[in-house]
Amino acid sequence: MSEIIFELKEVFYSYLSRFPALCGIDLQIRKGEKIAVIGANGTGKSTLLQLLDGLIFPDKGVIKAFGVELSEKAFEDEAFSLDFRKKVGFVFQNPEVQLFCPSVKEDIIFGPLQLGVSPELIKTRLAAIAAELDISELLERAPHHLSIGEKRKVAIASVLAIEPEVIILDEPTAGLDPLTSRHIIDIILRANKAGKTIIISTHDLHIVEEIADKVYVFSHEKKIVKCGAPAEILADVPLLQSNNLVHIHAHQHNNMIHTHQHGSLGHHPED
Amino acid sequence: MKSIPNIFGQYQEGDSFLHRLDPRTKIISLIILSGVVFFLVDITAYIVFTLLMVFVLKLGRVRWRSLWGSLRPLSWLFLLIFLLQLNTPAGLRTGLTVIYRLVLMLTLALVLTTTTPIFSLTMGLRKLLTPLDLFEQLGDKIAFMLTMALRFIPLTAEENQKINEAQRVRGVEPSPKNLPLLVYILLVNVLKKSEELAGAIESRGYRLYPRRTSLITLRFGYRDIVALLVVGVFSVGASL
Repeated sequence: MSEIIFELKEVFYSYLSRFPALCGIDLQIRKGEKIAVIGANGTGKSTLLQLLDGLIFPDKGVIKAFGVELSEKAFEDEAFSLDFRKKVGFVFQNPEVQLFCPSVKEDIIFGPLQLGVSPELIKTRLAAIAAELDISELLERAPHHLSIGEKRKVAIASVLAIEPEVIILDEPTAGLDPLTSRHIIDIILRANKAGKTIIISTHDLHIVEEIADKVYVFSHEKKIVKCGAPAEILADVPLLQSNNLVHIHAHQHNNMIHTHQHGSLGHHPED
Repeated sequence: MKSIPNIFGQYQEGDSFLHRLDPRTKIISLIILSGVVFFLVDITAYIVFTLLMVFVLKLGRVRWRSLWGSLRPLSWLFLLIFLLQLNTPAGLRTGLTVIYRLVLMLTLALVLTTTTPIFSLTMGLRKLLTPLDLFEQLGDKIAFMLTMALRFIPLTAEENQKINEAQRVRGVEPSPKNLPLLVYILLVNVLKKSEELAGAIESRGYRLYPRRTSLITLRFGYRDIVALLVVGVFSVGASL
C-alpha cells in the first residue's frame, strides 16, 4: 500500500468557538489517491480542505501531513513550511480571491518564485502549463477581466506551476458550463495520472465516479456518514437523499405523472 | 452619439514613444513634474507647463476626448474645491489655481497609467524601492502592498456594483441616506475577501524563500536618458 499523506484523528473545528464546522473527523489519504468529499452546503467540506492545507488548525484532534502534525508551531519552522507549500497546492472555490497579481502570467509564476524555483525552470513550467491548459493567449491579461471558466483555469495553472504532490480543489466545477467543466476534469485527471494526489470537494455527483476512487460523504452534523467507492456511494440513494444530494422530482410524460431521483447523478431512470 | 470614454487608470495598447519608455522613467518624471506644478507662480510658467503637457499627450497619443472623458467625472470635486477656496482671501484666483494644478497632476497620472501596463508599473515601483530592501525587505513589502491595493480596486468596485444591484431589486435606490448601509456591507464583504486572499497568498508560499527574482526585465535605454534630461532641464527652468 502506498504511503499515508494525510491522517486525521477525531478532528473538531468551530468558527469563533461558537459555530461547529467539523465534529470528530477521522480519515486517511494515501499517495496517488483521488478523493472526493461530497456533502450539502455548510457540511464542512471547505473547512476540511483548509485544514488539510494548513491554513487553519483543529480545536481538538490531530492532523498529520507527511508524518508531521500540522499546527501553528509546525509552520513557524520555515524549512517545514517551505517543504509543505511545495508539496501541497490549493485551488480555492472563489478564483476572484486566488488571483491577485496584475497579470495572469505573474499569477502563475507567483508560487514558484516565492518557493525559490529558478527563473529558467519557471519559464519552462509557464510555457508548458499555458500550452496544456490552453491559456497562452491570456498570459498578459489582468485576471479580473477573465470569464469565470478562464479564472478557474488560471487558478489551477497557478497551483500546477508549483508542481505539488497533492492538489486540493474546492468545488472546481461549480458554476461552469459543461464544456469548461469537462476541460477542468481532464486537467485534474491528467495531474492524477502524473502521480499527484487529488482531493476534491463537490456536490456535482455526475463527476464523482470519474474524479474519485474514494468518496467521503459529509452530513449536516458535520461528520463523515459514509466512506466508500464511488459506485457504492452513488447507489445508496437513501443516503444521498437524506444528505440533500438528490431529491425526488416529479414531472409529466404523456399525461402521466412520473417521479424519479433528481440531483446531479447524470441519469434519468424510467419508471 | 458616441460616448466619451473614461480611460483613467486603464492601460491603452500602443507603441508610442511613452509606451516604449521604462516605467521607472515615467514614475520618476511623474513625481518630479507633479512637484514642479507647485512651483508654478506666474502665467508664463503655467503656459509653458501647459505646452509641455500638450507635447506629452501627443507623445503618448492620448486623445483630447479621452482626457475630457476621464476628467469630467471629477468635475464635482473641482467644484467643491473651488467653492471651499472662495472663502479665502483672493479666493477666485486661488480656487482657479488649485483646480488647474489638480488638472495638470491628474493629466500626468493619466498619461502614466494609460501608457504603462499595470505589471510594468508595479515592477517599476518594485525596482525603485529596492534600496529599502536593506531594511528587512521593506521595499519588496511596500511593492507587494501596492500590488494588493491595486487588486482591491476592481474587487471593491465589483462588490459595490453587486450590493447596489441587490439593494435595487429590493426597492432601495442609491442615495446619500443609504450610503452608511452600503459602506458597512461593502467593508464587511471586502474584509472577508481580504481574509480569503491572505489564505491564498499563504498557500502559495509567500515570503518562504528569501531571495526572490522576477521574470520581467526592465530595459533602461537611450530614450529614458533623453526623457529624464528633458524633464530635469524643464523642472530646473520652471522652478527658477
